[in-house]
Amino acid sequence: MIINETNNQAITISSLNKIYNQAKINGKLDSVNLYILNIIFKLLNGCCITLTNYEKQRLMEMYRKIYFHSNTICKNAFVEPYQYLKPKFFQADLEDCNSFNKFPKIYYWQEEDYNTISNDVFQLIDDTGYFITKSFDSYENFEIGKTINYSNYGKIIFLATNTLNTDVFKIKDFLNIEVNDSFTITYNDVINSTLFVSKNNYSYGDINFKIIKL
Amino acid sequence: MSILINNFEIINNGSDLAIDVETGLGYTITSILLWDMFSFKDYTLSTNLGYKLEQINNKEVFIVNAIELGLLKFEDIYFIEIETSQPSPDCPTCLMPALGITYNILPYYQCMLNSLLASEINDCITCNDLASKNLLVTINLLIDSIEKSIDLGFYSQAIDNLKKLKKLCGLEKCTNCLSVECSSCSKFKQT
Repeated sequence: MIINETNNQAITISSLNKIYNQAKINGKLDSVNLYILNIIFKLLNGCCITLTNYEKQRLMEMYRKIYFHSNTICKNAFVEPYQYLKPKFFQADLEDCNSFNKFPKIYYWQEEDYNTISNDVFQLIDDTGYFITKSFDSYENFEIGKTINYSNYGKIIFLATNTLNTDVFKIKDFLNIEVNDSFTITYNDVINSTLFVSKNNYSYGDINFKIIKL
Repeated sequence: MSILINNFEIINNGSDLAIDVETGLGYTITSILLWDMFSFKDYTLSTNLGYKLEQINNKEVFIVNAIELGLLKFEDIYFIEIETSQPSPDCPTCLMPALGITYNILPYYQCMLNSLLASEINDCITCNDLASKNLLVTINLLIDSIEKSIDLGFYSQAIDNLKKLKKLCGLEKCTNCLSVECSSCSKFKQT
């Protein structure tokens, strides 16, 4: 969506509303959920048994979902209040504030707007709520090669989380040929993640990619 | 300590039990008794592993196969009580056997994992399936309790809790729990 002078206010309020609603649904994490969060954490850390890729993925998904709603262990610090008629909106601080580890993963999706450029996505991902609902898989599976079914026409995006500015990645296509040049690769230090946005638009179908952290 | 257990472990998916014990130089291991968790400390039900002892030096290293004891596999908790010809430095006239414990609770971790994956936690708004959550928490508490009890020497407590865990995981029809593959399946402890 293009933001211009006539619609920017509505869009701003609409995005605030999203954040507000998100903050509203961030219910409390009761002791049972906290306990379960710890069980999942232990299992993912290899405490007990060898997990299959499917089990790892399911556990990571559960961990992410519980973690994302961990309002009581990660109290949202309310910063600048926005007042626009009624009701009153509060911008939630999206910075992580607890010590629960996150498991590195790579989110992937396709931007439907084929005019999207790398910079557009770069700004969007500052809000974890933007990409947290996207599909993801582990670094291990992306190293082996992941086939993704794209159902739109547009730029394809990968977001590798928990990375350092100095991390180097190699992206390969299904022929095992490096295709780093086909992507704009940028590091986002707000969320410590590396963003890959394709320079070209991709159409429908299955595409296999490998993303290897060197 | 006049007896040292170097290894006491369930191996090869539970088909074998590896035992490696030693005593002071110039002495020999004179007896090793084995119990499972249902017969622990009942001397009439112990399995005497004396036939495995070579007694040519101060070390005894051997493998016990489950089939040779008429078992399908070694699972849960096993205890050995070892005696030596070496007198105890604290009490030369006393018989001071050493106790070794080995335990394999991998199937119960699998049971916990199955319970977790079956709990369908979607998010914190709709995850009110307390029955499955409580079961999961109970399984984890029992596993923790078993490990802590063994660490602290409360073997009866560990056995009682393992029996409860067995029952809970049995109720859940944990079909793949007993097929957890492991070359080194257990932890051991000497007291």
